[in-house]
Amino acid sequence: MIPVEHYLAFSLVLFVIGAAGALMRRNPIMILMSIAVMLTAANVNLIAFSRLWGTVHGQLFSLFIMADAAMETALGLGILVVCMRSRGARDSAESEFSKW
Amino acid sequence: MAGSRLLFDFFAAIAAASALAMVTRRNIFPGAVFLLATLLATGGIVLQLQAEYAFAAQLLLFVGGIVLLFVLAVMLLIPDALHQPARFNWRMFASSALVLVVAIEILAFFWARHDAMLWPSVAAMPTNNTGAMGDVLFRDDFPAFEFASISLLATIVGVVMLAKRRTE
Repeated sequence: MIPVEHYLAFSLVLFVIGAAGALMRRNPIMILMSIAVMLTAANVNLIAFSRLWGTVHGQLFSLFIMADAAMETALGLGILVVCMRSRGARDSAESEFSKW
Repeated sequence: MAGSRLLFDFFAAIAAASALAMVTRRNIFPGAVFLLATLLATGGIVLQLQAEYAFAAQLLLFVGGIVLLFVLAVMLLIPDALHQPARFNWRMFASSALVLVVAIEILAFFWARHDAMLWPSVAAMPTNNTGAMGDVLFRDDFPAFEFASISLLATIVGVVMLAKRRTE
């Protein structure tokens, strides 16, 4: 097996890119996509340690994280559609809630 | 060993490059395609870790479900209105610096504790991955599975209620 540090490094890189995207972009869809990348990075960590310890519990957690990501995406996009319907597309893309 | 290392490097490079491209694209639609590439390459790494069930779930849920949702949303929400105007302001530098600091902090932690971190020797995985997952999921951790189902159901109901609401 490839040393687990490699997986940790890969997951760190992916997580940092996702975090930068979530903080940098103003577009709500882009922020949601960056969060999906961050969750994937966490998944890689869990599965790598699951392999290291020889149990499937880490993979189980990764399944729950995937379900969580699906929920978060569906809910976020639903809220965005409602926002768009009530305020117009351009206002929703550049809305105040994504400013800091 | 060398072959698996090469495969890991290949998938990791594709995933990292696609993630970087996704974050820096100004248009969302290519961003969604790069997200797809990132998730597929990560799926390759997951498969290399002998997590077949998680790989299948990654393909079905992440690649099939979530990316489809993103693409649908982009098409629904009029792509022209969602273009990101080119803007390089303090926000970009501030967030990049913040993220860099966190990354250096994590790396420093690993560096400082490198001797103390004694990973166990690699244990053998159960040969029947899906069977082992089913054993844990439906016998040992059954309440967690039920909670996940209930929260998924609650999300579906919530999104339907949100979408049905008429706003004047």
